[in-house]
Amino acid sequence: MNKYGDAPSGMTLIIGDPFARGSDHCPDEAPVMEVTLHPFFMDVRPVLNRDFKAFVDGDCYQKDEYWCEHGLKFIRKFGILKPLYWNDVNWNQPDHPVTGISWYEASAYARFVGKELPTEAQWEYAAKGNDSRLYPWGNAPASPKYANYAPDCDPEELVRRSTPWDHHPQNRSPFGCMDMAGNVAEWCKDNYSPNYRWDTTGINPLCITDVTDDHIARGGSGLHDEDYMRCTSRDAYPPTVRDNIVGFRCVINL
Amino acid sequence: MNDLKVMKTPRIEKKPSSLRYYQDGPPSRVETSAWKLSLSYLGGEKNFAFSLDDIKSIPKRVENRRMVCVCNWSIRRTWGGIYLKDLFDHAGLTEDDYAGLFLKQLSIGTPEKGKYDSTIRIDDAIARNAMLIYEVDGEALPLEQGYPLRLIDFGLYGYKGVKGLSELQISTEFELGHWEQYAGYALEGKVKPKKYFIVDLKEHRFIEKAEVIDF
Repeated sequence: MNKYGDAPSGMTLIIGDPFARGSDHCPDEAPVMEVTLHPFFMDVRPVLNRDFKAFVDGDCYQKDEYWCEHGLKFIRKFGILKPLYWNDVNWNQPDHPVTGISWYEASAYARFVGKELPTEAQWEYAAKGNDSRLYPWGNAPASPKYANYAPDCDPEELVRRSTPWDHHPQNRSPFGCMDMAGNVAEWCKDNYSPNYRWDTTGINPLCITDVTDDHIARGGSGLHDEDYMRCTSRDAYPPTVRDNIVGFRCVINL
Repeated sequence: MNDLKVMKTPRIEKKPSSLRYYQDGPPSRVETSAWKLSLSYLGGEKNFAFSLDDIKSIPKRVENRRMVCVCNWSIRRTWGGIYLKDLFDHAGLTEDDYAGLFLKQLSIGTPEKGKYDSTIRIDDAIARNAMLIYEVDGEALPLEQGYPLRLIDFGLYGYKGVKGLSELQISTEFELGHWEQYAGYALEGKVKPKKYFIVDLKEHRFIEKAEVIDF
């Protein structure tokens, strides 16, 4: 038995050697740098609607203790009491990732279950491990066999929908994390930075500027093309965005 | 007078559908002869109404420019119409009248979903030569792309410009529009520096800021 104990139900231990974070595919993925992460547990699957139901049913949108100051102000101002697509059959199936949730809501849920959002570096390492694979599944070209995404950023269906977290069994990272590519992008803790030059240590990196600045969303979605599904690809949105392109998964830092 | 030969936008068949971003969906049809663009100033202090012929009587500008969508794609097309400033000039409004104020745009709307709206900063829109557009690539705007008229401020994401315009209101309030209230997108709507899919070039490029003039 490892010194970290068994992973909690639904989570997996992410542990390994320092890895090469970033790539030369895009200026904001540079410079490539060796990053060292302390081991952590990560959710095997994104937070699903059936998971998030406990948060909604528990009236947690009304419980201040789960929310940061700006998050509370945001949900109160707009009278938000549930995810945007909570009543939309295209997005609310129990085994689909919860979506239509702002970064604030994702953070509040994480606090509710005693976890945290992953850092961007944690997410990337969980997606690709220690090799240079393009996608969580490896280097095989993206196809609908592997993930829910939109070639040319133009989905086939005008009225889109999410897919179950296990709809693409090969959409699996080296650590066994499922559905990291496509479907819904995943909120990370970090604020967006146009490159990695801010990271001078490479040890458990975390970029925080201001909670109200844009936050990282990784993995791409059903609205975006295969480039957004690359393990190193970066996207970002204001923390208030609640569109059907974002979801999340959680970590426990050890 | 523009004499730009209009060529088909490369890979136009791959442009993501505009219907996805036309909140209320386009009206099933627009009776052009009955359509008017109303312009009000400070809650009705001054009111104007323009038919499409009125707008087309203002010298047309034809410009090849790049718009950026908040859904991470961008396309450069040839747009025909007038500058927002041209409309204000035509209405006899001066810079002193509208400096520091905001422009709320409202759509024609549909019976099912009503109208949708967006508000932008007038000073920035004027400085960036925001356009009121009635043609794209040499032809009338299709209904799904905003016929008879749409506004684009090329420094902002596409959601900040309403398609199928019916009303412009010059006001003192920077109001949250549909996409901000519904889905939490930013009020300012400025194009953020990050990677986008460039539809007409079929590649991804990092856009530092808009208006994009480098490619």
